[in-house]
Order: sequence, then C-alpha cells, then structure tokens
Amino acid sequence: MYGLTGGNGAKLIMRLKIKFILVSLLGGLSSVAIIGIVAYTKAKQSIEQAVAVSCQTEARETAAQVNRVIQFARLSVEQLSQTPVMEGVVNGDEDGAVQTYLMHFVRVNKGYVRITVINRHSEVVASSELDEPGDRFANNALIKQVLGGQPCFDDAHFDEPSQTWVTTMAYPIRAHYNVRQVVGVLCAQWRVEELSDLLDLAELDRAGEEAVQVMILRKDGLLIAGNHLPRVSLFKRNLRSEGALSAIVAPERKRGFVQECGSDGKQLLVGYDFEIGRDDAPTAEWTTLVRHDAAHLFAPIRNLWDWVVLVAIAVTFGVLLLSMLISRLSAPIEEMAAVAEKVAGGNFDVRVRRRSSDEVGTLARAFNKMIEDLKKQREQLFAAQTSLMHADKMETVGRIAAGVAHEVKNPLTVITMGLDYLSTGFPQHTDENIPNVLGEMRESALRADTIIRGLLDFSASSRWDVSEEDLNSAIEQSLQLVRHEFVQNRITVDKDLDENLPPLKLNRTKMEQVFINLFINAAHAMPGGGTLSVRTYVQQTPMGNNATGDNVETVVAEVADTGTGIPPEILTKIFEPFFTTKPVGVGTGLGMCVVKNIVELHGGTITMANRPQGGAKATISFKV
Amino acid sequence: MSKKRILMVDDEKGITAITKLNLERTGLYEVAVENRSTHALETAKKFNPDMIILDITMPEMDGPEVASQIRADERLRNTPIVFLTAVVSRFETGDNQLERGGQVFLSKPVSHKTLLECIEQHTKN
Repeated sequence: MYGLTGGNGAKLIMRLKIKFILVSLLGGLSSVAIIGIVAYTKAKQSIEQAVAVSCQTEARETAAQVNRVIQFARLSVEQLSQTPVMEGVVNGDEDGAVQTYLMHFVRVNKGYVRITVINRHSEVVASSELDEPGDRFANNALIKQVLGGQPCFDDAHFDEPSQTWVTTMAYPIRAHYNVRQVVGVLCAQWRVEELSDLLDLAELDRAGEEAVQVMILRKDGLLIAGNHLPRVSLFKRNLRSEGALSAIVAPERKRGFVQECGSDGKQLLVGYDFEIGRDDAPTAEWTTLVRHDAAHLFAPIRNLWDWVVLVAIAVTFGVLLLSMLISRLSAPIEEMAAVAEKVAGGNFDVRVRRRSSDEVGTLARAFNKMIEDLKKQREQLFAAQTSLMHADKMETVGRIAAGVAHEVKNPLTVITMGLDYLSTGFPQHTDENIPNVLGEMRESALRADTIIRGLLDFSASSRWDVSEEDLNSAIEQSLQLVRHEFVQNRITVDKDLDENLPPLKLNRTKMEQVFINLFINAAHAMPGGGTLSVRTYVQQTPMGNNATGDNVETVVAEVADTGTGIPPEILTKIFEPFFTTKPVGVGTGLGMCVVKNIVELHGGTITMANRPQGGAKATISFKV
Repeated sequence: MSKKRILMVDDEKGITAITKLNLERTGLYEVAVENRSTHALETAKKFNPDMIILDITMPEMDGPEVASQIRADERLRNTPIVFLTAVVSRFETGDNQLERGGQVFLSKPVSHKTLLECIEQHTKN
C-alpha cells in the first residue's frame, strides 16, 4: 500500500542488505589495518633486536678475525727472533746474508714494512731496508722494555719513510746459552692497512651486502682500517661513528649497539665489540665496528610498512565513504523520525522533504503517502465522530421529545375535545365573546400541538421503511402539495429534472417532507414573489481511493430561490434544532433540522448556501 | 336504528369523560369508558361494543396487549379497534390518521370531527 509491498519491498531490503555488507566489509578492513600496524610495530621491534644482536656478533667475529691475523703476524716475528742466527747478527758475527734474508722475509710475508735487528745499545745492526747499520732506533722506551725481556707492541702510528700506518712488534733476541739474557731486539713494523684488505676480502663473503661497513678504530677513536674506504683518505677523513664513539673511547670497554644518522643523512645501525687479546697487544685496545645501512636492512619491513600505509589510506577513504553513506542513509531516516514524532503529536501537515531516487527516497515517498492517508482518515474519522455526536444529540432530543409529547398530548386532547364540546350547543347568548375566546383557545391548543408534532417528527425520523423510489416523482408530489402556497405568493417554478435518474432507496413520505420543508422555506424567503428552481442530475465523483480509478454515481437535487438569502451568521446554525427565523408561532424551529436528519438517515448530505446572484440554494446528494 | 356502542379505553380520565360527552351528545352513540387497561377485556365482554378506541401508552398494560386479548376472544374478535396515540408523528399519521397492517391509528389530540369520521368509517353497520 505504501510502496513497500511485493517485489519492490524485496528489492529495497536486498539493496539495504548489500549496503550493510559493504559497511561490514569496510569495518573488517579497518580492523585488518589496525592489526597490520600492530604486527608491523612488533615485527620491527623484533627485527631491530635481531639486527642489534647480529651487528654485535658480526663485530665480535670480525674483531676475533683481526686478532687472529695480528697474532699470526706476531708469531712469525717471534719465531724469527728465536732463530739462532739473530744472536750472531746482534753480536756482529753475521752481515750481508741476514740482511738479504730479512729483505726476503719482508717480501714473502705480507704486511711487514720492515724488520730491524737492534743490539743492546739500541743500534740497528741489520734491517730489511738498506738503512745504514749503526742508526739508533727512535723508540727508546719500547726498546728498553723489550731489552727487559718482554715482547712489546705499540699502537698504530704513521710511518714517515713508508708513508703508511704501522704497528710495531718487538721481540727480544736471547743468548742461546742463557735464555734469560737478552742480547738484542727484533723489531718489525706491520702495516695496519693489511687489515683493510682483510675486511675487503671478508666483504666478499657477505653476498653483496654492500651497505655494510666494517671498521677498526684505535682506542682514541681514530679509524685505522675499514672496508669500502679509499686507501688514500683512510686516515684523513674522520669516519668515526659518533654515536658509538663515546662508548669506544670510554675507559671501561663495552660492547653495544646504536642507531645513528650518518654524515650523509643515512640511518645507520652500528654494532661494536672488541677482542680481548693479550694485555700487551694493541688489538686489545681496538674496537671493531659494523655499520649497516638501516634503509637496506629494513627494506623488507619498509615494504610491509608501505602496505600498512596503503591499507590505512584505503581504510580511511573507506570510512569516509562509509560515513557519507551512513549520513545519506541516516539523514532522511532521522528526518522521518522527526516528522513521525510531529505526526504522533497531531501535526499532519508535515512532510519528509527529501527526494531521492534510491530506496530511502522510496521510503520517504511511502512515508509521505502514509501521512497523507492518515490525515485523510483522521479527517473522515473526525467528520464521522462529529456526525455521530450530532446523531447522538438528535437521539437524545428525540427521546425527550417523545416523552414530552406523550405527557403534553393527553392534556392537549382534553383541551381540544373540551373546546369541541363547548363550541357546539353552548348557549352563546349569555356572552357574545365566547366564540372568540373559544377560537383563540383552539388556536393556541393547535399551536401547542404543532410544536409537539414537530418534536415527534424529529424523533420519529429514525424509524421508517425504505423502498426503491424515483426522486423526481417525490419532488413532483411535493410541488403539488405546496402549489397553493406558491400561487398565493406569486412564485413560479422552474423545473429541470433529469429523467434518467437511477432509483434511490427512499422513504417516500419522508423525502416528500424534506422537499415540502425546503419549498415552504423558499416560499417564505420570497414574500414578494420570485422563482423557485428545482434541478436534479447525476454526478460522477471519483471514489475516495484513487487507486481503483472507479467513479461513484451521486444523485444531486438542488432547490434554489431568488429570495433574500441567508445571513452568514445564520447559515451555520440553520440545521440546529429549535432554530427558526420565523416569527414565534410560525415555525417550530425543527424544520431544517428534521430535513437534515432525514437526508442523513438516507445516507445523503445536505448543504445550504447563498447563491452569488442572490437567494439561497439547498443541495442534496445521495450516493447511488 | 340502534345506537352504536363505543368502548373507550384510556388511562386519562379527562379524555374519556369529554369524549363520552361529545359522542353521546350526537345521539348516535352509546359510549362506555374504561380507565384501567387491565379491566378492558372484562368491560368489553360485558359491553359488547361495535368499536373500541384504545389508547396505546397506558400503565399496567399497553394498548397492543389489550388489543391482542380482545382479538383472542371468540366473541370480540371482529370488533374494530382504533388506536389513539400521543406518540405517532405526523409523518406516520399523515392527516391525523394512519393505517398500518390493517390497523388504524389516531393521533392525539384528535378533533371531534376526525373522531366521528373515523368511527363512521370503521364501525360495522
């Protein structure tokens, strides 16, 4: 009925369901996004942890490797110092052959810059280089320590003649007859740069992880070896890791992990460690540092992050779309709710203004139609109620009238019959006024009777029999009855009766009474003469429910006069009982009320109106 | 020609008294009155009227009940009955007199003339 029935309603529900599914889908996606972000954060944390551990491990392993290399280099020097020929060299027993051997040693073993043999007087007695023997060795402190019987090493330092950074490894040369007697010092300068080569080689094992930097730092933080570093600038550029430096140069040695920003703006992950070698080894003071490019290391996780961001953006748009959808969906529903509240409050003139072509629009239209129908039904109900109240009032008046009539009619009968008795055979000669008095009395009794009859007519109008009658013939009959009155008042009758009127279920007598009343009233409205128009016709009026498109036939009778018309203030009261415009005694005040009652009891309506061209017009309609 | 015998039953003594006066003064009728409806049948049996004028609304027993008692009586069965009623409206009585289902109604107040006409019309000769 309101556009929600049948297939239409099913479609509407289906569309709403699809919308609901979409909404749920978007809700699900947003949950996925949240889970993604949480998972990403967790993954990042654990990966960072793993990276930190791995960086440190790498640093430690590299440090161990470096240490092994240096140990090996020292071992060779130590073995050389223990060769018996060295004692002879120190004592000046050997010459050229040792020199040649040392040169060969330096050439064959990688990393050595020079090897020098020094006697107890700190004089160079033999060298892998063509130094003149007899030069004094520069580092006296070191020589002194070695002459005391302890091997000695110094930290990395720059060697002017070879223009390279070296570390010195010095071993005592002992007398073979008395190992406690130190006769000289074998001193080897070892190229620290050799470690860079090592790191470069180690690099090859990293399967092309070019982003990794491995460095070795001196205790003061100075870079002494590293991969990926141009050799020339190795010690000139400060490539130290600032974040790790404070830990590296601190008196207490600590391994650790830092994240820092490189000089080129790159995010770096730095792990550092050291190898605890022998206390006298300089490597014990060096720190190995492994630096990873965070961008490279976190590339997979970055990828994941990109996805998370993508999903988050998608979800944001989804939610935006969703909220728009919901607002589109809910706004008219909210409006409808507000309108419904107003309607519930009794205001039937409000409507839902929203007009859209979707299902919500359909709903809104159905809603408006519903209010429209409600309004109509309410009006009909109100009219019915009013009419019912009127009928109830009439019923009450009728019952009172019947009671009063009975009580009054008996005394009236006595009076009337008494008058009849008195007016015949009464000795009139005694008083000539008696006939007049009796006449007046009879007149009064008649008037009282008329009023009572009016009341009874009114009350009796709810009980009668009906039969199929021709309205025109009832009108003709009524006109006959009032013909005398019309002739007296010089009233002409203009008849226009439709011969094809369908028969109506009427109480003939009462319907005649209706027209007689109307005609008499019309005659009284035209005291100076005039024209009375009577017209009947059939009207096709659409049924209350437009949907069926059926028409209902209505028989209409119009009685119009050319008289004085009805004053507006009277027009509304004309159908009320005991209302009359006629002088007291002329009308009972029940005529029009009875007329209306009779018409309505026939299921018809009567309206009274003034005509624009003057006079009044009564219109009676009956549904066929 | 003997006088027609009219029985009038009405609880209003004024009505019965004056009707009796009016009718008997014509010299044509002999009128009996009964003010108690419960005694109407007995009075009718004794009086054996040519016509009965019967009020409808009465205490104790109403007009139609009295009429059915009379109709049930072997001897009185064919006696014409005219109802006299205060309650019928003009629509139903037309000009004061109405026949419905063969039953005649007269509306109060009834004029002497109407009553006479009615009696003449309905009494058996």
